[in-house]
Amino acid sequence: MHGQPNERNLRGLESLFRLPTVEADLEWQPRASTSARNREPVPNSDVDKTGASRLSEADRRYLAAVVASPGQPSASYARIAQMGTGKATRTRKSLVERGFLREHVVATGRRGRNAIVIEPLAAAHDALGPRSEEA
Amino acid sequence: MRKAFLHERVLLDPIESELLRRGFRASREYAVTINRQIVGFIDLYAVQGVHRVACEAELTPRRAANDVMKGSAVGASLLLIITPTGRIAARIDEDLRRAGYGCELRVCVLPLGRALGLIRDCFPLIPDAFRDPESSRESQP
Repeated sequence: MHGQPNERNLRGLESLFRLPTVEADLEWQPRASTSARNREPVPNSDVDKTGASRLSEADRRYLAAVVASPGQPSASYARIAQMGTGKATRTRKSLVERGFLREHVVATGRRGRNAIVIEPLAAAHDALGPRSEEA
Repeated sequence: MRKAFLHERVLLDPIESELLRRGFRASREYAVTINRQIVGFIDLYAVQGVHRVACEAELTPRRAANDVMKGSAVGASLLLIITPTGRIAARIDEDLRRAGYGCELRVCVLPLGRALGLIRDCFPLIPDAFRDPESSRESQP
């Protein structure tokens, strides 16, 4: 198929040879892809690694309450962290999604609905710093 | 890690402190020996006078039969299997009934709240609860 070039083929290429020549930029660098899959991880500081910079004041208060007395039903932390139940629920769900806390369903009472017991993960201790471990 | 927190801290710690409050001597990971060979460990073993309570925290029904064997081997008067939820307790109870365990050893499979309630309510009455049916017949006039 790709044998010797014949006259017919060369005739077709004449139009190509007539195109203006643009010099190549020899210092060209490939541009980094912007897609999420190919994106390189951005180097973070220590604070970013622990996720502490992403925590709001409410998140921090809730985390501190859980780290100080882990294994309590979720309802008790709203009171300890001094926030409303709705905000406490939203904060808890957000912290669980971000990997700071883990929930366990346990029947702590004799009857009624099962309680959600909160476990602080290592990220929670890291985010609060050394003071949390001392407490 | 996950199991350790739920198993040790959430399920066993309250049971242990409740038993200690009632004058029991409790030990964690009590070795079960048969012919001087360790065949397993009971999560929490508590003794008060003649009462010997073996407590096992179970998150799944898989090892419940093993718990009954360990409880029998150690000579416990009550095996308390503590579960996080009532659904798991019902599953374990059903499995044990189907397997035919719990004839000689008294086995209670309860979620945490009800297990604590059992200890709070029944241990002051434990001599009656644990009295042998034959001896109780003898004591009756």
